[in-house]
Amino acid sequence: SSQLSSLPLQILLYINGVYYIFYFLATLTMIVYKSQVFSYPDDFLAPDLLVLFIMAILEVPRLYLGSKGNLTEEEAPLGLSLVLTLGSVVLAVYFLAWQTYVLRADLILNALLLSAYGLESGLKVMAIAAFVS
Amino acid sequence: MSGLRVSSFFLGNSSGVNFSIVLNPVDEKTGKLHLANCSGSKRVGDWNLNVTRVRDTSEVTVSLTRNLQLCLPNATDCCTTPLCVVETLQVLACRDALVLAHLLVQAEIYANSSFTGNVSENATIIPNQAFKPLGSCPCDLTAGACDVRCCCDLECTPDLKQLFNESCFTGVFGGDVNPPFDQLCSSHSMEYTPDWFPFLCVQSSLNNTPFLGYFYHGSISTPRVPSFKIPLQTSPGRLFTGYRQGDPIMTEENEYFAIPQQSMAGQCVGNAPVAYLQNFDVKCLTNLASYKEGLPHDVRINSGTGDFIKQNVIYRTITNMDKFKTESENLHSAEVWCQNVTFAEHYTFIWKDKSIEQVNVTVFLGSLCDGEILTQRFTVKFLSLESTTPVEPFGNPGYQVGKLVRAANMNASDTFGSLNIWQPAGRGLCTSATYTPVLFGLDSFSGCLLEVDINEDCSILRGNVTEKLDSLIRATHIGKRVNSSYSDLNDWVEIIRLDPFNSDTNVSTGNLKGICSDIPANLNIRIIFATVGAVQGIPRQEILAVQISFSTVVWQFQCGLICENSTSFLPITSSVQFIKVPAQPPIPLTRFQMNYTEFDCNRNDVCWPQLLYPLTRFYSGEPYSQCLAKGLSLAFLVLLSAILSNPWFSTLW
Repeated sequence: SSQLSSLPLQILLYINGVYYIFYFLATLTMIVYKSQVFSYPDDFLAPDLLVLFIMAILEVPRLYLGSKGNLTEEEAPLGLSLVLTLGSVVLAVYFLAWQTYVLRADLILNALLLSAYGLESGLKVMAIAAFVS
Repeated sequence: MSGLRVSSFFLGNSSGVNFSIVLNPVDEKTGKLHLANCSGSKRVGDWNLNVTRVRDTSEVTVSLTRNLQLCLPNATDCCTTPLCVVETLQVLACRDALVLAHLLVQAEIYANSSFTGNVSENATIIPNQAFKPLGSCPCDLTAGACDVRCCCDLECTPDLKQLFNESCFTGVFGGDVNPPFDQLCSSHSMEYTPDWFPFLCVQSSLNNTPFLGYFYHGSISTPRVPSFKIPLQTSPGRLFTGYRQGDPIMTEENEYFAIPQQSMAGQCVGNAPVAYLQNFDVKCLTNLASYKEGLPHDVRINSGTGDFIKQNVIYRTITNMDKFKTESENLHSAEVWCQNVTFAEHYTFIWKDKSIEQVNVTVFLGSLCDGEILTQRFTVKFLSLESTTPVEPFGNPGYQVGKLVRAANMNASDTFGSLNIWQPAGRGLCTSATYTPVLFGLDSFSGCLLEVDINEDCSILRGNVTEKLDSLIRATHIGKRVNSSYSDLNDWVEIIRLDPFNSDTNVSTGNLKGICSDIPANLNIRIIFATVGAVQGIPRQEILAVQISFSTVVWQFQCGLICENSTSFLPITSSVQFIKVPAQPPIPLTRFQMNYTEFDCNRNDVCWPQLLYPLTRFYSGEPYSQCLAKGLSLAFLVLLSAILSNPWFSTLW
């Protein structure tokens, strides 16, 4: 009985979880800092915060489903996790480029996150291919 | 030279010197100058030479006479390329075929880039300001041509731009609508950058700042063309329902009935409409050159109920012209142009309810000569049919600022009284001073000068002054309201008089001449009023009490260097003061309101509305959105910690 679960994917998911907590706290702190130092035009602060919270809410089921799908070798949760990853990618791109004020630290954090997402997506696709066949 | 004209000077004796201009003096192959030939002329090709001799020097001007307009290739008499003229000239100064001096001119002239063609009717498309700043290049003023010194103009070719590159417009006008700010990663202007600067500098490009389109809301509003026309009343019989107080009086042709009045700036305006039930009395200065005849007196006036009434005009001539005119210097010159003008017009409008019954006009005519200054006088009075005193019955029965204070003398037979203060005239002497009635709400202080002899007896002086001041107060009662009627005594308040302390004995003066004490020279009228309600939103004010008192002064004869037997002046003053008192005392607080002060931030230590700030919008120190953001993040973190502390969650890790 060969093990079809992908170990690199599991490691990546774990690291992603830890990194995401750090990312969330850092981005939240930076938004607070930006709101103090820079002047936000009318109601631009609310969308930024909203997107951050949506991203956090999206991340939890994404990681859970990915981990569960990988360990139980089922492709359905893994597929759902892939779809959620797409959403997270869009939100990460928002923070990278379309945010009100993009700091260099934002750039670095989001670039790392996006590369993690990219790698994860690749590994998930391979895992799904392994499970299906 | 780079322009159309250049000049230089030839110093020295210029008699017998011939100037000439030579084209292309430089050999193209070798680059050396040709030998100078003195047989040139002052006009070569498109070039002109002008010489002006001034004493020892001659100014030599070289000018180009050709069209420098940029045009299509293969066209004639204009420039085909932007760089129009590149030539070298030589100006020679010769005397008897001998070259005295030569001037080498290198000309590099560009085509005229200012736009002189047809103006196109197409409107330039304004980009959507939500994405591009409006006016990203404010110096790009001409479309289709290059604006000089405007480096952001896209119509300028690079080689043209190179010409004025050093002297471009700077700042916003030169296109720098978004100057880089210090926190940008790409700005290196700050000498001191904080330690964390490499991480926390702003990376977003300047093209997409959050303030792009900040003021653009996208809504379009159609401009409302203001109409300065008088609202037309199409059929006066049906729509014109009578005059209310303040309405302008209209004539037959639906125009304002105008009488010269004083404007807010102080000068007289000729076309000022007359307001219903608003009396006035104005004096206007004019002379023959600026004299303008007013409305003709045969104009009929809309009475308010639909029909039109004629003015009943009485013409009179002025006998005593000195009260109106000031003499001019050239009065006695031979031929002065004189004209018959109106000196004064007195209008009396007799009204009833909302319409005008009758208009009586008295016009005083006189002759005005060139160079004289005339003081025209226009008065308008509204008289009611019932009584002869001008009073407004409806509207606010209380006093308004500027209204006449009603006074009555209950001891007299006709009960007519008046309350006045001094109005000085001329030199300010009391003999020439007149009275002006006290107007409600206007505190005033006026006086006049009384001439006193040095030998004046003090008690006689006191009597004289008291009599003069008493003549101001010819009343015993003051009306509480504007419409106080003479028959009802409750409508009137009695004037409280505090007469001066009458001392007939020679108290302190003794036999001293020229000094008198206790002269009651200042009259103080204090009127106490209160607001007792409101009529149609306008507060109704009533007079509660009136007090008249005298203040005493010590008068001393003012001597010059030597005390001659001349007169000195004693100023007699009268002052009116209006004091407002609350009609009712403030409503006392209930005990509940005094003890339970939870939501009263002034008296409470803890201001609950301000503490619960994001829920109540009481506090205004911080922006609401920021506080909301912080509150929400705090709530989220609390929720997160609550969730994470759940043991079910720990099994996930």
